[in-house]
Amino acid sequence: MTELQKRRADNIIWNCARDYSFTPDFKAYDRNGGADLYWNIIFGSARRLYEYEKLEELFAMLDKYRDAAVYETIFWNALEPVLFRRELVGRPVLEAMRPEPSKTELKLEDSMTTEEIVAAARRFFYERYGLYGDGKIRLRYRLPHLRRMSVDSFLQRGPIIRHEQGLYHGDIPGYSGGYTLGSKLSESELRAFLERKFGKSIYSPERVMQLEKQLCSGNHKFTHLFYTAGEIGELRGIYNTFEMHQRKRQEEVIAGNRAYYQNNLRQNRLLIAKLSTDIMNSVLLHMQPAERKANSGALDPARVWRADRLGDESVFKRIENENAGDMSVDILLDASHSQVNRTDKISSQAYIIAEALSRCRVPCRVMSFCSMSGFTIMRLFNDYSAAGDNSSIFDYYAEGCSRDGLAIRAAGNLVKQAPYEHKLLIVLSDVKPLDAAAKIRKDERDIGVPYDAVRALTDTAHEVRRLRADGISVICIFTGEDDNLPSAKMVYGQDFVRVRDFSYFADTVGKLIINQMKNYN
Amino acid sequence: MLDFLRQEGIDEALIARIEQFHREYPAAQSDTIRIPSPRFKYYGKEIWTLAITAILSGENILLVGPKATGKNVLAENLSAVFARPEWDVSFYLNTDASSLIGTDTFRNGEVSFRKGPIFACAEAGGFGVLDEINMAKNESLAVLHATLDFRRIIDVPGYSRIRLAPATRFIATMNYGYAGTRELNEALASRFMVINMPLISGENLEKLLLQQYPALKTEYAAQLSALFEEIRQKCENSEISTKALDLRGLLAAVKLVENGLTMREALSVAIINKSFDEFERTLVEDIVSARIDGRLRKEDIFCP
Repeated sequence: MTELQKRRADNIIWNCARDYSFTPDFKAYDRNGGADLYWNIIFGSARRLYEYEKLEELFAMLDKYRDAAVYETIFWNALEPVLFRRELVGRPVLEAMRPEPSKTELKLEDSMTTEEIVAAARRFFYERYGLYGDGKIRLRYRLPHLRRMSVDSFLQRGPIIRHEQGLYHGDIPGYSGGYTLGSKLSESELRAFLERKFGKSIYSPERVMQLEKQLCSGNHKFTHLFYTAGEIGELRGIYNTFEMHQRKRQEEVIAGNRAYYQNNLRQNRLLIAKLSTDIMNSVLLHMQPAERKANSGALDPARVWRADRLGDESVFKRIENENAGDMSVDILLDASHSQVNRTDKISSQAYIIAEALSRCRVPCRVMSFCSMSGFTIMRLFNDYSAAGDNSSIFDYYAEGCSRDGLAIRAAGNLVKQAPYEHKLLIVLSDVKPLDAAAKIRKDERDIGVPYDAVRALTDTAHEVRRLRADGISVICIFTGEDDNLPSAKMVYGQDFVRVRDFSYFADTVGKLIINQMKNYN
Repeated sequence: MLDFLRQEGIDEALIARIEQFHREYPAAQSDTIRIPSPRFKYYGKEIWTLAITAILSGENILLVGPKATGKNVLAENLSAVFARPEWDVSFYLNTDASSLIGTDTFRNGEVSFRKGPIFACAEAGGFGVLDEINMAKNESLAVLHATLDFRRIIDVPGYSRIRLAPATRFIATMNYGYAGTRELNEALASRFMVINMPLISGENLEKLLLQQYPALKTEYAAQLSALFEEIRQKCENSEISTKALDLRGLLAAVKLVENGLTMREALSVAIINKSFDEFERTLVEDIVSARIDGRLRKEDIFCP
């Protein structure tokens, strides 16, 4: 049963129930897994025509039995003719749609109230199948014939009726903490490890050295940078069981990210559409006027002579608006261990923003950062030019520490190289900078102070302001818990949002991005 | 049209004042071609009363509402009721002063003024319908401020300054939520009486269908009206976008059946296919199939 078909079944049921506030329990599908129109109409109308809580009590009772699906199917087959007759008044089309009704010994009348129906059903299940109602069956009914009456034999005739208990929440199975690698390994050994783990470095060793010289200074002296686009290729060797475990775990998380997006596909698509409309409006609004020659409009005195001498009547100016659109957006994801329980949400959010921007043809690049063993790893998911394909964002995986200051500095350095006039950096982070593996050291002999708490926050805030001074707008989508809001305020000032309710995601983020765009003019 | 207003239950006193308006401001012979004779009628007594009273009081009105609330139908109906020539101006992003008031143009080797629709409307004392006024940038509409408020003038630099003919009124419409729409600023909004257009009720939709297609069987008018209501509910719960919520489409579908298509074909082209998202289309298709037998033809849904 695909997600779409489930959604479709829900929609048919909601439509007939004239109520969108519940999660349908019974849904019907045809042999090919498509939503069954007729039966879902029946389920929906039961919601509207009867007091459904009372029916739910009956289903709860039946659910105590091993063959619950069979009993429920019997009940629905009995209720179907009643619902059909009652619904037919408003929907004459049902006549033509109705499949051959199943024969059932449970007889229900149109005039019965919900209570009478439930009472009749309880009586029937007791007399015919010996159900006491508490999960026990009367002794003389515990006969082999019931065993033979398997679910399948029933379902081969009617539609497939699914009873869904709640929604799948995609909880991540027990996972205990991240890890940091011991620093016994040399720098080159560490790099080799990182290449196996995160993918090939995108820069040559010389270039990395140059970048480290430029960026790993001040509070970040003696730390290292590692840039990758996640291309693992032939390096994908597994060296020990620990790494194997890690990789398996990583694959699970990535699958979880994708599943989370797919499970909320409908909502996510609406969010993308809404966000891209908002951004598009803003883009349109901020187009730059440009003058063109025309044969009507405002007279251009400098061209008037052409009319007289050359017979050229295009001596007017017309103002046309041209795309200001010289703008790029970079999204920086905090991929440290503190985000481990929300990788699915964060990757979806990043994907939605990136997708909305791509639809508006605004170049967008997504990267993530985390730190381990003195390295700050910058993972690039896509490039400005990779128009349209943002799906690699779901490869987002959280582990290690977060040296936010260095990461923002490194990201800023990448953003600065972008060939666009206006640059926006969106950081998705819980604003908890902490790097246990590399302290702040002034020189070789200094034992240093840890990169954490206020020291790390101040460092990060400083980096954000430096980027702003360089003309890059930096905004933050806060992904952490409420108690850490003051940190976000301290680091990002006014330019951060907290997404409390995902359904307002597009509005909140849209407003933030649009506010930035306004500043460009 | 006045008889229609009586049917709708509009106060006789108001109707008498409309008749007085006719006598005071007879339309010029040359403009009669611009007086619309509406194909659709607007149903809804409260809105009619608000709009008529505002116009009789000399005010401009702004009709605000989502899709399928009959904004343009009412605007056209009003011009017809007051028997005034109508100028339609569709606003878009690049609408500017020159496209509204007029531009310089070159005629026979001389620069001359070409009147824009607002200018022409003001001279003739017509009704100017400013369609989707919020599509334009507020700044470029500032030129209309003096026209729309108590000053009632148009000043064209270098040409002349004219006073609006006394019967001139402007009826603006706006919709939220389309791509490109934006808020109207206060300066502009304060120059209009704002009427919030309600969604068409099921009963009025049935009336509308039967008025358009008198031979349509009442039970099918009821089914189509219920179908429309169900699509609207799905939009409100944001299961689908508003693309399929298309009143024009619904009316057109009946016409298509009258001209020989099956119900299924007609509703496909007129409503279902308006959603370009495949899944959304499936959802709309389900609503339609749960109401209407696709094989129905002209002889089934129309009285002989």
